[in-house]
Amino acid sequence: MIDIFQIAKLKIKKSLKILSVSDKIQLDQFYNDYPFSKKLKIKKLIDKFEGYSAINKDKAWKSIETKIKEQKDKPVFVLFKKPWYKYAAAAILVGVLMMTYFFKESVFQDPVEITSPIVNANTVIVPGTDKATLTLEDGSVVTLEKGNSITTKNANSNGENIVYKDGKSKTDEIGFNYLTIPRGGQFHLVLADGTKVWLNSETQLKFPVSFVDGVVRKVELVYGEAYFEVSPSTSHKGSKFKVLNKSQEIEVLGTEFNVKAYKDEANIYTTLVQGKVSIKTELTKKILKPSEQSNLNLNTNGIQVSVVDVYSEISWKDGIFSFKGKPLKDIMKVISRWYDVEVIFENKNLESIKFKGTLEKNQSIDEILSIMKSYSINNYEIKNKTIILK
Amino acid sequence: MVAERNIIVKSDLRKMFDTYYEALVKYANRFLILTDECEDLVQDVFVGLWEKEKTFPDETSLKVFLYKTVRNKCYNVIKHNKVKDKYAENVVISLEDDNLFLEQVLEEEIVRQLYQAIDVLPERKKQIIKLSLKGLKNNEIAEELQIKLQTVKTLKSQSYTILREQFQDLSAIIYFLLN
Repeated sequence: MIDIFQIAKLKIKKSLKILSVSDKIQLDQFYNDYPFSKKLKIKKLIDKFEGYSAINKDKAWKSIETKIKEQKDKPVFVLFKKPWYKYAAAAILVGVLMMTYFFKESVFQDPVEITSPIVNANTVIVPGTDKATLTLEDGSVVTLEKGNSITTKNANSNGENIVYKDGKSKTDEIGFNYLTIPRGGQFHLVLADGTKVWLNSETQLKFPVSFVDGVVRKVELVYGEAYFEVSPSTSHKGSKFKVLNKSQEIEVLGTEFNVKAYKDEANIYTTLVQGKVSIKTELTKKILKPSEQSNLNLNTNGIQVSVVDVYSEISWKDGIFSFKGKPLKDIMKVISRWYDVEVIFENKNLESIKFKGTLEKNQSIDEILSIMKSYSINNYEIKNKTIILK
Repeated sequence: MVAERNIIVKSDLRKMFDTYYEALVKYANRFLILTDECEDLVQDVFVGLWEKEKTFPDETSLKVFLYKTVRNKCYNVIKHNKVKDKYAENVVISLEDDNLFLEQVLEEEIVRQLYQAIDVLPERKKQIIKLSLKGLKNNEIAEELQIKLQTVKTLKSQSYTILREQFQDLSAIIYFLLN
């Protein structure tokens, strides 16, 4: 019974387009538990307002007062540990304050106009999936995707990840493989030394099919974003692990960190989760402590180190995009890679609007846009694989 | 041992009445044809609340109590009705159906909350928002109410902002950052 009240609230929020991600998950669960709640259409209920309006409440209240008087004037009845309506009033007040602030600070001088989005029905924009292409030593290319099991000389893939065999190489010729993740893809890789690598959309990693104990382990993040959980040097006769990129070199001794080096961004971000890493460029060298992020500016070649919210930097590998006050421009970059879409800001003012929150990677693009629309985006249009924000 | 409790005076009963009266009457009206009879029945529930010194830990428990009490009262009225016709039989069956009860409460709660949220709006905005919630497009609303399309757009947008304020809670997962 209590669920019903929550469903009522969620259905209303849905109709007002203010359903949050967690609301949505909760509502879907309720739809499952109470199938009738899914079928219920709010638009069919609006006519019931007439019945409510027809009731004369003042008359009814007088009648209640009379009935109470008749029953001797009992002074009190006892109810509630907490007067709930006071809390409700406070909540509404907070809401009003927030909205007021919103309008003061908003880039929109005029009230936000609510219009329906224009969606080209022929286009289907879907969230990304596990997929990658593997380039072998001989240059041949293998497609990795769900439901497609593959075995190469050195590795096995079930279509969701690829695991390299723990074969020790005999120093001489070590072959390199490339794993390339397209836009709208992600993949998980276990290297021959046991190091785990999560690869984000639009990423390419070059790595050896096996390693030699005692010799520096080197992989190259050609472009894109990857999260490394490095197998400790102590397990490999002290072999250091290096992540190379054309502009920087990360040296580690067994640790977890994230590197982001996208082709269309002028910065390389390295975020350390735990352990210790050093970042080296042609000009300088920095050592990161856990929770620190280095930002290498490719135009100036300067490195800046700052403390960041680690979770929001690495949550992508767990199927979540988390943003802590990121400008919409940056958020849309992430979205465009995962949904493989182009995003155009018709209203340039939107680029700098900051959002905070969490998106699940399996959410539909419409859902995400409609959440954003209920906050600050006037309207949006989806044309083929392009999203236009207005 | 007396727990910390607030004594509820008549003004609090009035608040509960203001919040739930119509919904309970219209809920009863699903089973009893005469609205007067429903009103009378629901008024008695509030009077009973006053007399019995019942305690509720929170608003939800009170709400559950109100709907269940009205349901039982309707059931008793029909069961003890001298006239046993086909209609009464069907009503009894529907009153006994627990799942249907939940569905009906859900409908009533949605209507109640939306109605109260919209009730504070000026008449014109009220009309527009009702038509919009019924699924009408801006131009259809403009035609229906014989007003300019631009007026519909402006008033609708303002009305939705007010409505959203009321139903928005702070736990929304993605939100505009105040900076």
